[in-house]
Amino acid sequence: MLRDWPTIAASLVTALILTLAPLAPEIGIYAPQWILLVVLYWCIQAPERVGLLTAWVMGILLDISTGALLGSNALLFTLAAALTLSLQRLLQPTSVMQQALYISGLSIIYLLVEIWIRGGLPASLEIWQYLIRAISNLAAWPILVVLIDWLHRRLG
Amino acid sequence: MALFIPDRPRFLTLLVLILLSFGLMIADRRSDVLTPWKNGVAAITLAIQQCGYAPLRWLEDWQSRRQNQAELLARLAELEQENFLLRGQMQRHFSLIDENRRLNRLLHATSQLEQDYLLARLSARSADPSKPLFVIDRGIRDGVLPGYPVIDAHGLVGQVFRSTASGAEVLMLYASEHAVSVVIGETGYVAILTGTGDPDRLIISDIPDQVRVQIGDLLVSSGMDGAFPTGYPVARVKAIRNEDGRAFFSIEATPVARLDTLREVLVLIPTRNLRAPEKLEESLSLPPLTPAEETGSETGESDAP
Repeated sequence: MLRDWPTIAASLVTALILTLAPLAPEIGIYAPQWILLVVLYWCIQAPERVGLLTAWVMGILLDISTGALLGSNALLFTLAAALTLSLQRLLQPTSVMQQALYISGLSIIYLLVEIWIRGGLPASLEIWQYLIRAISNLAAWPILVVLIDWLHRRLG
Repeated sequence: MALFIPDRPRFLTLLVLILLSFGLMIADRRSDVLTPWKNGVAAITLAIQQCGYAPLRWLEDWQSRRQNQAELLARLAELEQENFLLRGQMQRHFSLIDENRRLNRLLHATSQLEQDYLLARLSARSADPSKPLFVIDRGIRDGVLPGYPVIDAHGLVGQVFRSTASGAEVLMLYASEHAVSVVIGETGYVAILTGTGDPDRLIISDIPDQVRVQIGDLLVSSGMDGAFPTGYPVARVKAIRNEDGRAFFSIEATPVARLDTLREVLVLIPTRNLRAPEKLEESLSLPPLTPAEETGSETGESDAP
């Protein structure tokens, strides 16, 4: 099963590009958290390959690229990955929509803890606007699953 | 089936990573030790960002190349005229610089830092509205360092936030963590203009009632913050908020720089020698500044005792 690696690397790099160079920066705050979604996808599908360390490294990359407090996203990525890994046997056989519900619930907690670490909401933003990302994550999950499956068939 | 599988090595990794994250957060908040490392990795992420935006720039280039020749020639003539006009005005600028130096010497004042201008092109925008940043294609290699002011043709845009070898991030002046010291219109009152995160809204609060401000007044950088040089237009007063029964009022202003259509910006690089103007001066073949300076220093010395 060494053939997972190209797909994993390609999907992570794509997620990084989507986050760093978004197609529409104006609606950036509502965009799904691509990197988190991809990391959690691999935690569910290939827990023996992608685990806490990958999650932590991707979190550090996100921190550095967005200029956030170094370590804040890394911590949240690690915790989210730890929870997902411990529930992995439950999550893997369930349907895509159930996984998506779990992911968006997790991302609500993620976003709320992020506010706490940041020390407040970003100015000019209401809490419901901030939490729309969780719904975006919900909508993005099925698309992501289909895309990674397609990529896997291509590369694998 | 057990929900939580006891898995010792993974638990240990988790603990180590959590502690590491906390350590990094504390170190990052308390000191600048990590900055070189962050800048090193940021060079990679900035490069990814710039690559992601490259197609957009190719499209722009392609569109400009597709304009027909007549239009281009008309545009060229227009720009030549404008350049001629600006150079004409620059001549007066040189005599003013000269006069300014002489007066400074008379007053025994240290002359203000003067700037070099570096043209930079926008290469990417960030998506986080709480931290409005954009990336320019000039970095440490071109002398761009954090804190340097950035302007466009109309006014102040912001300041360099982080700089890597080949690119730099610029924080726009409407960011909620950005502040600049300004003079309000003709009143001479100096206040601090802070961003709100909203591109059209900058605020100054707690201005005494006796300061006469009108809507449309220009806010000009005061130079008192030591970060921005004196005299660059920053914003225009949009609204005045006066609450009854208070001896203070607040101002809302909009930036004068065209932030929504930014393509190119100028980075102000502080320098003590007037390298750029002297070069221009050579091309204009104006008389050199030195004789005037000598007389200035003589009068300065005779006045001093």
